[in-house]
Amino acid sequence: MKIKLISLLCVVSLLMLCGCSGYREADNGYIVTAIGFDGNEDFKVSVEVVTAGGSELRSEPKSEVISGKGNSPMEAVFSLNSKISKNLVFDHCTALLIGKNLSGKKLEEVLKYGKEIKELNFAIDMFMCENAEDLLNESESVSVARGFDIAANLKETKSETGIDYQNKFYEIYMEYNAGKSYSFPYLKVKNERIIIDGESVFKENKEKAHFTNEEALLYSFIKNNNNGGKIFLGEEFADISHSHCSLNNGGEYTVNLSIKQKSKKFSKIFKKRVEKMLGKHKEELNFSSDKIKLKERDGI
Amino acid sequence: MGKEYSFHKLCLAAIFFFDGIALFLPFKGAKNGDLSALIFAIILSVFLYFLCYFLADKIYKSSGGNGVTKVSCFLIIAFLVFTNAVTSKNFINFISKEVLIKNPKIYILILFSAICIYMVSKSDKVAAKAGLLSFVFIVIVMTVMLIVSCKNFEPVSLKKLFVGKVFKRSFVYLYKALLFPIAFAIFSRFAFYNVSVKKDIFGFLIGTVLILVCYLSAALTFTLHFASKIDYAYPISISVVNIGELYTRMDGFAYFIFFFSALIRSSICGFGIKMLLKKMNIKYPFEKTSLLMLTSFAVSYII
Repeated sequence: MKIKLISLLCVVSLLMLCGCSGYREADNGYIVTAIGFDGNEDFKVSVEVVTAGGSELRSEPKSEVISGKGNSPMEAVFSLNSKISKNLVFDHCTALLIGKNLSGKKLEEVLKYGKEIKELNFAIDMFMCENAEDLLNESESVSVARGFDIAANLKETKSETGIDYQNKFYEIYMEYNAGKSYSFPYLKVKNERIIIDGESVFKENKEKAHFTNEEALLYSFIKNNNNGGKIFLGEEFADISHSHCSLNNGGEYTVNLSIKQKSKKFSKIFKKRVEKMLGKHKEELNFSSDKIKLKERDGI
Repeated sequence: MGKEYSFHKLCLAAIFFFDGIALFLPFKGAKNGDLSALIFAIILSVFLYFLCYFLADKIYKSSGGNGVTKVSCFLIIAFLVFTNAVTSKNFINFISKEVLIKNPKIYILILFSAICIYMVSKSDKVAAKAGLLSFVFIVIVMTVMLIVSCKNFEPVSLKKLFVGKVFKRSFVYLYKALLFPIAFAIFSRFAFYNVSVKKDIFGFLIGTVLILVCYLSAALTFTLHFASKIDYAYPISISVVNIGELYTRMDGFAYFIFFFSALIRSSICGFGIKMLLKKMNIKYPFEKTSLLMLTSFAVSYII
């Protein structure tokens, strides 16, 4: 019995060895933390890579930005690979940046490339910016890499405001595939730090609307993409535990807000702000109405 | 095997049924009514199973020297070799595309075939016990993954999943499910001669539940239309799940699920071949079974 158990253990251990065949040493590759695509006529790919310190003891990891060009995303990555001596390791890539000049068919090609390439996780977060290469080059990283800073920034924004941007690669690809609108958090550099500055809404691979942070928050209520958070609107503040939006029979949006502060009521300004946003983007984003009814109640 | 192995038979039936189809769900080109088509195909294949079990029963009760029995056995062996080839081809392709991407397929095939043939060299009780352990692992993992992936599910119209062109689509699924009946029927009748066929039915029921869990996890995470465009949607639907900050990209669990189920399915084909060769009183049944299995693995590599 003992021999059988030991034999079984050996066999199971042998099975585990398969994983060793594709092993990678940390300093044998460039760890990609962010990847960005730009392009007007052709594609430009920029990757932020982190390299282990090398032979020096206790050396800090360093990040740098490398670029490549090509007629397709695959070609651009290939040309980037040809410039470097080590392999690119995408396992820790946390951000996929799309430059603003990349729209229409080019954006479609990037989405298809992201779907085909096995190295990029389906759940990678996607962002929009003016120019991905400039964003990566002009900013300084707070942590080890800008990619990680962006991920941390997104997490913080989500937990504070409650906005669920639905910007994971598979979420965006699903919406694009179904012909619906999809959105990216918009990044920009401020005081050498990358911040989230609003939201870009796309449909049919063209930008239909660009929201400020405030408008992005209100948009999340309308789309039922808000998990509860702190709202700052001018001088108004509310801590929302839950929100729900529906279209009533009168052709008017009803937004139910559960507010943690007891007996808190928003002023008419909040309602007017939402209606203004709805009216401004009604046609491009197919809002059913620009009228809204607000219902506040005490939340938990 | 006696009645004390009845639960083992149920587990084996569930896994065997599950492996034939789960890896590819939902199939390419899924449209409205796809889930109904899948369920309809499953029901048809269960009816087909009874026909196959009846045939297996006839062969079990007949003498091995009978000409008709021999011809039937040879035909069934050919089909088992084909079933094994398809099973290993599906599994090896999955592993080489998703897990061991840069490794040549041949290494994966050699390892897999060695384990299968080793399993077939043992008694059928070993397969039964392995099936039980694999079943427990598969059920626990799939249940946990279903619970934690609920938050990623998109709202979807159930009407779209159930109402549509069912009949034509069901034959697409039936083609994959058709591979199931005769292979398990032989093993079930020959190995579990004291256990009622009711356990097979319960096993299919559980296998169907597992299949539906795979299908719905993929279809609700990615929407049906998008999920049908992804290769191996179920493992990818697990890879986007996260539990807290630390537990992400847990698609490794899916690799083990499909490894155990492919191993059980392949082994059952091997056992079926061995039992039929013994029935025909052919000498050295295990050696000839190994040869036939190696042939089927070689075929799976080439096709």
